[in-house]
Amino acid sequence: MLTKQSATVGVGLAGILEGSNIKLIPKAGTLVGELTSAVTKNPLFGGVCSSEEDLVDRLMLSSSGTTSSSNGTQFYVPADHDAICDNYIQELASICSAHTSYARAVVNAEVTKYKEAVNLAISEYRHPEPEDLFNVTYSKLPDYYRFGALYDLITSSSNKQDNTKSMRPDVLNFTGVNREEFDLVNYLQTGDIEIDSVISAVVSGYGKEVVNDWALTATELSQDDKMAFIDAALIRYMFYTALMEKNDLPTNCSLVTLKTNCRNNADYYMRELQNAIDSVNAMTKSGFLFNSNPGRGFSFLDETPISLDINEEVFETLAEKGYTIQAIFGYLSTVNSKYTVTANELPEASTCIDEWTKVRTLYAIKLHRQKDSLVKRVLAVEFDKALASVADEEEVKFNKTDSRFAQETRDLGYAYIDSIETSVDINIDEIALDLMAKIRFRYTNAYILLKEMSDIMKMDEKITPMEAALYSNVKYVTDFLLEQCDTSL
Amino acid sequence: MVAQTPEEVAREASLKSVTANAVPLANIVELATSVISKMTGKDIADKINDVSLSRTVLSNIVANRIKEKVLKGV
Repeated sequence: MLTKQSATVGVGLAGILEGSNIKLIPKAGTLVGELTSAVTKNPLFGGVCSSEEDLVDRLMLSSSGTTSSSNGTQFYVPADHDAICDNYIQELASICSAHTSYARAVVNAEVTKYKEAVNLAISEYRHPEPEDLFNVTYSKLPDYYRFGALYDLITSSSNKQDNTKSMRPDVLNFTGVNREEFDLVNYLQTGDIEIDSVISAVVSGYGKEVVNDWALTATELSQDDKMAFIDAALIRYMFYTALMEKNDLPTNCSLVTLKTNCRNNADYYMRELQNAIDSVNAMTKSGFLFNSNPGRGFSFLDETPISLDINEEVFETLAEKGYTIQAIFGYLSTVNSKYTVTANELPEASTCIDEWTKVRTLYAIKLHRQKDSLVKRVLAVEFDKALASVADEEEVKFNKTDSRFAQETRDLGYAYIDSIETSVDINIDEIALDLMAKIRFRYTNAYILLKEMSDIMKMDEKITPMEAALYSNVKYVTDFLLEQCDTSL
Repeated sequence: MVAQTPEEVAREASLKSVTANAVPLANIVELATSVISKMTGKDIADKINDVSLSRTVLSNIVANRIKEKVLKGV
């Protein structure tokens, strides 16, 4: 039966609609249609109402059952209206509860997970600064090659060399040496504290494995890293000198051969060392500033990093004239830049710095343009990831019910991402709700419930999710029932 | 038979029209209120601003939604 409250509210609403000339016509076969005819077909409802109060009474009366008595016992005989209501109210409540529970526990969890994954991926992505596109190293010939005990040793050894000999090192077989256990620092000990500390510093600087490899192989080293080339030549010279005296490593050579080869190699590496030092000193003297690799200027359109090996001594002199590292970057950004440069070839410091400022600005514009496509890329990647790990509840839908479902979901998701307008601020919350609730869980009513909850909570931050769920369900259930009526004017 | 005044005729017509809408509307309010009442406490709130939700309050919320939907179409 209709309660007085419902009847009164219904009559009040009807009065409001009367002013708008709107007529609600329940559709045949619907729940609202059945309940309406259960009332209107009751003879008690017939006749003309005298007032709204009368109408309320009639509504209540014609939807109520009757009281009957049998053998002195009174009992309630339900009306058609009661029977229909009893059947459907519990069922509808159960269905709506299940929808709400699924929307909140399963779908909303996926929305939140997706949103967090997208936000994390976006925040973790760091656009490289233009400066990051240069791998800058500074090279300076260590002082121990310029003065002190090691310098004296190199100078005196150099003077004793026979320059007509040993154009290449003799290859000795050190496969019998256990490289793991070979203690090179100890092996090269000279007794001179200064020289021994240099050797120790070189080994710890490059690492035992690298330096052992220098000593125990004849691999030709690149001169791109001039300082490593010099240090390697030193280690090799020291190693063959020590081996010549000690003869204590397994090489499968006769003593004479070993000594000859060691002498030859020591001479060879000393010459290599001396030449490399001379070369560095000459370059510094000529003002050589840097080598870049690959040998090209910098362009913000090409994000391949450029290695820049800067002569520290020359750069120190330039720094006093106002050149900064940005000035060097600026020079490399000019059209006519060279990849091997001496100090006097550089334009004015201010010109170089201005050029770099200009390039940075262009690069920033480029990054801004890339931002939109980055967000779309992240959305698509995370969408794929989300679909790859479907919740248990949707496993059946994705894998068993319809083999095309997953592909169709992907297609819908990609189309949605493509359609996102990137010229306005992107709202990840809304996008996550659309992609997860509206597209992925499109076979449920979750989107309707969650979207309404989200809108309600946006309107009032004090409102709790449970209250928002209440209002959302009122709208959901009421709209569902209203759709069972045609509206005419 | 006593002739009706124009006001009485208009009033009767109006009540007739109200009656036609009142039946489905009362039923929608009754159904929605009953369904929501059965759901409260588990998945949706059973109180608003710490005040327990009565059927009267609930039926008024339903009525507001009906007005919004039917009159404004939102």
